Amino acid sequence: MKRKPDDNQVEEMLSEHLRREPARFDFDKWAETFPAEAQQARTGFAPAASKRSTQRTQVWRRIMTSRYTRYTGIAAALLVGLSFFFPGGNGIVPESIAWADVQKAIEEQEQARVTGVRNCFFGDDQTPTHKLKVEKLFSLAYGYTDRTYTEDGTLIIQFSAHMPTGTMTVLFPTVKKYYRMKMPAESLERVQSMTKDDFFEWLWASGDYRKVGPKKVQGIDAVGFEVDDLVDRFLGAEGLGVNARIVNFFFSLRSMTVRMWVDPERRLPIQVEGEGEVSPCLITGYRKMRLTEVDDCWEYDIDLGEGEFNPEIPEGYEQLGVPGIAKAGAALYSVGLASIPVVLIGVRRSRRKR
Amino acid sequence: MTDLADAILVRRALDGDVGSFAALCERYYPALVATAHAIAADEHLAEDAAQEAIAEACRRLRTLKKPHRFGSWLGAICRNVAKDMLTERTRSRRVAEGSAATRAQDNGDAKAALDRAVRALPDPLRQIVYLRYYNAMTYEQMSSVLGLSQQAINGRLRRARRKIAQTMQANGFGEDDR
Repeated sequence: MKRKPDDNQVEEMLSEHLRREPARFDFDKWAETFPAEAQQARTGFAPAASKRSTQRTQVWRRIMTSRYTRYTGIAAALLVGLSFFFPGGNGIVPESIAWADVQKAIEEQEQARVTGVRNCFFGDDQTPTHKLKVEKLFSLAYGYTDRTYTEDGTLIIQFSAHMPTGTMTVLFPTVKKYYRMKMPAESLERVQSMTKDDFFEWLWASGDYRKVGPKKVQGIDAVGFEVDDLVDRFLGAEGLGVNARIVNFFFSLRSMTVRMWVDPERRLPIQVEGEGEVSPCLITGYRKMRLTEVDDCWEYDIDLGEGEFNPEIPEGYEQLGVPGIAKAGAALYSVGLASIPVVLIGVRRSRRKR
Repeated sequence: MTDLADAILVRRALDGDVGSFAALCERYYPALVATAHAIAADEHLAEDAAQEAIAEACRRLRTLKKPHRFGSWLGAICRNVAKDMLTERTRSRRVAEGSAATRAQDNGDAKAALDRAVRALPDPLRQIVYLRYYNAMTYEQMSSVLGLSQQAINGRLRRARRKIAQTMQANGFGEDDR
């Protein structure tokens, strides 16, 4: 009968078989192979200064060279960064012990699946024009996937960001189209080297938040945390360097309030709610729109395969070409935003409802 | 010099102190080799990738915004360099050597079973396993290279070992033990 080795046994085998003497770095030898770089090191890296600092400030704008794909790229980069929201790191709101507890509890979770409902309202309508179901998969190791379904469960868009390779994929199953791109190496390095602490320091730590509740949520006396200045942080001077005018042309999110409800016993989120207003823009057909989202089903400790985040392109799917991408640019952008977990909620009008 | 914080060494390096830059490289070189080996499965290629990563870091050091994150920044560069080198190598000499290597490993012993199980791990988990067991790196050292918390590293290591055990079992490890 086959026997599974236990944890100690695996640990011993790994220590025994992988062990090497630490490699030693010899600067002089290295300098023989890389004389130009060694010279830079000897002169305080001066030659690279002017060129590189310019590149740094433009890194988020230069995600893609095509002006259409760039919109998607920016959204996707935002998405990748924001996917760090889950599992969170310490320091999101350092002065709050409760938040620290929540973050610590979340830190233990490597993967999760969250589902909810996104509603889009036009004008003063009290009933949503579009009701969409959303599914979000998070993996600390692999990245993030967001699926948007019509009310009857037809998948209309899937957006995946595969962190290890920096591959971003958008699938449009109803029209059998796909779009796939790689983040340029520099952007990928930036995202990969960004720790959760870095991200939250930028996104949250300096911002305003408030505690709300307690309130009965899913039968639990939940504690809530609310923020409402996230849009400014993305598009403001301290944001990601995204051109706010371009973003607003496609998707002009005016304001967004997000509340996270936490089970005080488990210290884990049980529901996230967001509501916001979108000014007239391309995505909304130049109408004002209101949107709400409730993500109320959180499953932790599940096993998600890497393929969920770097999907195979199904047979028969065509890549969106340049003419197509121009038309789909707005939709793609909305996908990127729609994919952002719990915070910025985009909209994609389903074909069925048009 | 060896005990100075990364941020101080980076600042000195930017002021032209080549010794500080060399100290930073010495500090992270073993981790870079381990990381690259995890990706490329080749010791020589791993050393090449680590050295190329240092050269790349040299070209970009001025762009490093957070000097105290030098380790995780350099680690990310190294991962990408190793992936690129692996892709290049795979292109240039496709199948032949790979299949020979597989046959050589396929001798049914525990080490081969372990090698296969480690190779089957997803990249991020394999890298963490290499960092931990290649040079017996501490969680703290790993944390500075990976930019992850120690809890997260612990969680990933546990998951990696669990997957290794599952793969080994599926491949017939322990069939003779009754």
